[in-house]
Amino acid sequence: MEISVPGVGSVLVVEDDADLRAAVADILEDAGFEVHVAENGQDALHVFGELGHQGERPGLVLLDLMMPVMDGFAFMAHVRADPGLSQVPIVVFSASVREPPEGARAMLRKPFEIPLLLDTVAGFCAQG
Amino acid sequence: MPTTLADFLLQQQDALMEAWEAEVRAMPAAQALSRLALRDGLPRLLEVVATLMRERPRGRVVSGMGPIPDLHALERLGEGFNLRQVVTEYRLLRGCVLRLWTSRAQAAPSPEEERVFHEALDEAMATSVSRYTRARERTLQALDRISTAALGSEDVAGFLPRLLLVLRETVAAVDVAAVLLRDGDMLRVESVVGEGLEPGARVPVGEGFTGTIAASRQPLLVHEAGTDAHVAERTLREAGLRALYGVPLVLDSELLGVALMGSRASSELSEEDLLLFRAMAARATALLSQAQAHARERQARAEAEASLARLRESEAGLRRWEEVFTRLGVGVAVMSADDNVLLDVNPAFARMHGYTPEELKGRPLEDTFAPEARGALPRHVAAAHSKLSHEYESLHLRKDGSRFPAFSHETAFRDASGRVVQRVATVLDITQRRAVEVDRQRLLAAIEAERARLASVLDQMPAGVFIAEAPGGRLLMTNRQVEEITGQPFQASSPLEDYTRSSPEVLHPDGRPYAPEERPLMRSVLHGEVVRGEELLLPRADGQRLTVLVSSAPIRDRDGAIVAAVATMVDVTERRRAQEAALQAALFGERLIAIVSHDLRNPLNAIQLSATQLLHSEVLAERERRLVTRLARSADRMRRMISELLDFTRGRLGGGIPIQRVAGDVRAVVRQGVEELEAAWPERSLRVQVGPGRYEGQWDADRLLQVVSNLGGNALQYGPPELPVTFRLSDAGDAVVLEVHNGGEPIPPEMLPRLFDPFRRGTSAGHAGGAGAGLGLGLYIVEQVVKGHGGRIEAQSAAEAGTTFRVTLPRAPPD
Repeated sequence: MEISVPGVGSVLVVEDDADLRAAVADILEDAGFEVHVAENGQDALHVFGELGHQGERPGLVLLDLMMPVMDGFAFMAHVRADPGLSQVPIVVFSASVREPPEGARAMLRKPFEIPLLLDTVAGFCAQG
Repeated sequence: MPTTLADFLLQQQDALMEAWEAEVRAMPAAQALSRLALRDGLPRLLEVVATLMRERPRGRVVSGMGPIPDLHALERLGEGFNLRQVVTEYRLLRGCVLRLWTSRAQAAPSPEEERVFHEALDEAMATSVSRYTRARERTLQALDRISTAALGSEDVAGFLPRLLLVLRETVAAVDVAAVLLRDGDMLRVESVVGEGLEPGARVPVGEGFTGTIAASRQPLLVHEAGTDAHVAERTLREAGLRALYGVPLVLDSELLGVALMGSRASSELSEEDLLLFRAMAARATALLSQAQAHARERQARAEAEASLARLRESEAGLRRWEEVFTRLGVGVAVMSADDNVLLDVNPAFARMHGYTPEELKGRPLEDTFAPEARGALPRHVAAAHSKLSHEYESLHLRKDGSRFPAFSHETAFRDASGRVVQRVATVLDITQRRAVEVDRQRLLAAIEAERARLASVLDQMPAGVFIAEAPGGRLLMTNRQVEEITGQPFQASSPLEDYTRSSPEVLHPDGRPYAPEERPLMRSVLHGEVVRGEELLLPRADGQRLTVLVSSAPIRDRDGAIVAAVATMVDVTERRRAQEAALQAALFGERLIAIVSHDLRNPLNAIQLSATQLLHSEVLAERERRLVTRLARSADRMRRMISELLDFTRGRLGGGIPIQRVAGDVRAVVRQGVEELEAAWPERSLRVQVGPGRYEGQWDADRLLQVVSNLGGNALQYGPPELPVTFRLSDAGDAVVLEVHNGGEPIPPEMLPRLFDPFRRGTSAGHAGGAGAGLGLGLYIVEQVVKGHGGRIEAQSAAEAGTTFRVTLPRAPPD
């Protein structure tokens, strides 16, 4: 099935569950997005750093909240404090909260389905 | 026989003087004088006259007499002779000489001798009279001045200095004058003019110059005071005096003192000065005596006045006591000690017994006692005698025969030998006091009854109760439960501090010990604090540690003052243990929620996403597509079950499903829910009926969507496929009503009451088959969401009407 997505860009998927992370990454890649992955907040910052060296920046971060090492809240606090990163839109996916926390543009409640995932990502990447 | 008158005067001198003395003694002034003093210078005078007669005509009579007539005149003046007596002396002497001459010589004297004799006697008489007169004049003047000086002052201290000043002014030769007064065996210098003696100095009688004069009571004259053996006083010896003369001051044989005068310039004092001094001393003596008498009289008068004043005062005191005795409201009776007869009673005593005082006087004390009380009287009398004072109560008798209780205080009075002579009793009618006492007893009994009732009420209370009084916190009362809770026996009425000290390990929940005044009951007693449900840890006697809730409050009197405080104590040890267990369970549940919501959903979401993605792939064969479809449907069922389980757990452990109200329109929620159901049940007919009115309100749209979805899902599942499911909205004012209706078989009546219990499922699997079946939590969650909105849900089910779930949702949260 072909899914056309306007405005293809790069997405950073931050999720500690490896299967879910891989499933999301596959779906997004199949839809034509460039996907980077990270296991937790700290790993994500590291990815940001590497991309930065290459002069790149993700157009969107899909962020899980409950993660070991550095959770989604701490990651958002870091991003907000960094002028170079604070403009990157963040969409959180979580099972435990019902409203997007401060710093997040939107939220996907787990478990989410493919159309909602693609609509949401496409909305931000199209803008970016 | 002598031949001349001159010889006769010399040879017959003794006979002449004896004859003269015999005649002179007839004069009163001469009677007291000794022979020597009486004769004085007269024998010498006769010798001088005889010499003059022989020397005739060479001798000059006027100048040949020497000082004899002068001195004699002064002596006589000093001895109190008047002028006529002085003249009479000379006249008698002349007569005696001539008479004896005539009788013994038998011849007349020669004319020349006779002339000289008369001339000499005349001259002596004239000289004496002149001298006497002059000296008396001076003395009189001095005495007059003394009298004048004495007039101004009645006291010795005032007049003596003036006297001495007069003396010094009158006698030119005097440099020092002093008066010493006798004080027992001593002479004390009372007053001094000039230098040489210190006022206040003392000399013993009999010693020294002054003491000798005092002891001998004779005047004494020394010519060189600095060296004379008579003068032993150091001050007198060193005063630079030469002539020193002292006279005793004697009145009626009593020695009052000694007067002294001294001269620095001269070793001699003239006879006239000595005479004058003696005269002045005599006058001073009289005045001194008078002054002393005055002083004594003044003192006596003062004493008399004082004693009179005392007497008056004591009379006034006596009158006052009489007054008190008469007017006193307390009965007073005076009784003889030996026969107990009433000697005197005051009006109050008589009145209380119904008599007049006169009626009672003389009667036995016994008459005032009730006959039944008289037996004890001897005992009281004996006690009063032995103890001096004795108090007792007894029954008294009135004149009219009635009785009254009385309180008596008896005091015994003793004479010098210690024997009791009389007793005085004060008697108080205590009828009133007795009545008050009876009232008090009644009141006490009532209070005791109240107390007993309170105690039994308290014992029935399920809580431990303490009552402590202000201000010290003495424990007044506790109930049985206190003992049961603490396992410690109580001693009521022991101060709270004692009690709290006996259980010192009362602790705050965090383990800090309580200070005694920090405990709730003491805080109420001391500060009026109201304590509600303070938790503390209490050690039991058996070593167990209890958790108790203590409440306390002050008890105030009408004026708001704290009089006591009451505390209740409830043992919540078990409750706390249960709460603790529940808390632990809740925490466990929370963890379970976290696991379910997060950890399970991640793999589930991965399955769902992957299966869906696979279904979208075009390479799957039909068989594999069925397998993947089954996979996706099972994952979806699992998602719903997890969701329901999560809501159920939240509802049970977290105090209900959380509701987040946002302003919205319930019609939109219903339409969305219906659309989703239509998508899931495309072959079924769903109807929405919206009545007129408002549908805005504050609600949690996501949760309401769950309600619509669950109720609609149930209706679709249990209703026959050919019948529609109807959603009906209506405006009910403050609330909105949603009804979901389906036809078909009704719900069995026995199931209706437990329709909303968790883990319930319908008896028929419904038309959706096992694939749609959940955990049986759907209706439970619906009810929780409705309740979370403050609303209610009812179900009605009947064969003809079908089944209707009716949800009433208030527009706003309850206040």
